[in-house]
Amino acid sequence: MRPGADRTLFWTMVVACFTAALACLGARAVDRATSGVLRDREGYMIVRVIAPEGEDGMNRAATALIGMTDIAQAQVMSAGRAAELLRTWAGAAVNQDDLPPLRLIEVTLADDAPASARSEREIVAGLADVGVTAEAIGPPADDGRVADAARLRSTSYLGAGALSAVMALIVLMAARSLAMRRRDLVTVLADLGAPRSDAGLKLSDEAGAAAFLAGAIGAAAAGAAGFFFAGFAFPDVPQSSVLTSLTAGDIAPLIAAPFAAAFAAGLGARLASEALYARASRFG
Amino acid sequence: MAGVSAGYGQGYVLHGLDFEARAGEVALVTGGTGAGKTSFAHLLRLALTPRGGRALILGADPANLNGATRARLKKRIGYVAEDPVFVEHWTAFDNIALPLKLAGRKVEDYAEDVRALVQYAGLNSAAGEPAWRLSAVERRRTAIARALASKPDLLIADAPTSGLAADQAARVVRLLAELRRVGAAVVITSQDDSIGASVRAAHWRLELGRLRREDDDESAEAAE
Repeated sequence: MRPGADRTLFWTMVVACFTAALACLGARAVDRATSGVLRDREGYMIVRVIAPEGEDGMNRAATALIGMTDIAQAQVMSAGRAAELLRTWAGAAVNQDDLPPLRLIEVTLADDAPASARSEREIVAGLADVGVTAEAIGPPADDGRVADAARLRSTSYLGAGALSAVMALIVLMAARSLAMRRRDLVTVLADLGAPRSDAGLKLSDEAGAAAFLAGAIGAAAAGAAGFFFAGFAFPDVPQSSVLTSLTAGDIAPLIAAPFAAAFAAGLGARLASEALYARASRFG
Repeated sequence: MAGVSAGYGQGYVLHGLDFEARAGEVALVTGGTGAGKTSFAHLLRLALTPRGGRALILGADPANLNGATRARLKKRIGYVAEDPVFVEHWTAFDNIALPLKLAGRKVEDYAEDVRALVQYAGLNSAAGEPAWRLSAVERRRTAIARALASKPDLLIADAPTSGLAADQAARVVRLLAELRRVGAAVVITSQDDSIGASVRAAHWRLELGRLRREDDDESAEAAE
């Protein structure tokens, strides 16, 4: 890129990369949030111990549940925990001292556990083997939230993909304009007998390098913005926790942005140089 | 070339040209505005394809060239345009060196050659200036030095003296004509008939796209 020139096009590329990277980060955040909802609903159930009555039945059931391979966690529900859950529906008036004795165990399934309906049957059968009669209560088959979450996830990915494609097109067009401003170089190269590929390579290298830098700046800004939004959306979560919870998939859009921008810009510059070379090398 | 015609779009600009420039010779092609001098230069530098007649440029038929062969032949052709195009933010030195860079030579190999060309073309301190800061004369000299850098077998200068004072014009023409001493064919187009007095040259006259041989200009020989 010529010093002092083409700044507008360069910053156009930065903004395009920022927008695309932020959209992809947003889609990833939606994915994580909805995955959490789906996993929580699919992987959670309550076991009600019917017999034997008393502490013995509860202890035997809890021990048996912890030993099952598909179960990650089994926790006898305390009166406090039950009150906390009930307050979701009944409000703050629920008092744990008013609750009758509970015979419930909260169960969290392992990530690789089979579908909850199958787990329910296996849990009941497993408890029967140790002489415990119980029923397993999974989430409702579909209360609309699962479908909504799945729809939200696919919509956010589609939206981010479409927006990224538009931004890539903007980067391509900006690089094409950058290359068009190098008409002098292509004309000189054509006059001096440089092959078409050399002229194209020279311009696409230049535009690619500029776009890579623009992509890196845009991605860094998107990362900072994402971090800021996360702090705004989850004020109780420490920033260090946000950072440590990041996975490779979360930062993939930031890593990919400079490379995608360089590719789109290289293509745009190549297209421009082809046209310029053809115009410069032959008339008539 | 024999009976060569060429043009742009549907129209013809050059009609039935018979022309020859041999290695070690200077051909001066003069003509008024719109005579077809620049088109003739484009024809010689393989930028304009003949539509009729027979042409051989550096042993190749320009009507039947693929892109790669055309590019390869162009490396053997030096071209000085009336309004030379440079990479404007590069220095004159870098612009002159470009043909050598394209030939794959490293800066330590060609730097001395480029310095010699700078001196030969009389550019001196202007060599360090970006092209956009050069005067018209300096641009012309830079273009000549660049054209000479690749030691071309055919040098074409399109109106290299336009806009120059008489003494500068004579110097530029002599500079170009020097290349014949290393065996290149030199073709110079100009509106100005008087530049023939500066060098020994075969004089051709182009009028409305038709070319005719004037003479060998003995007076020019005397001038040299």
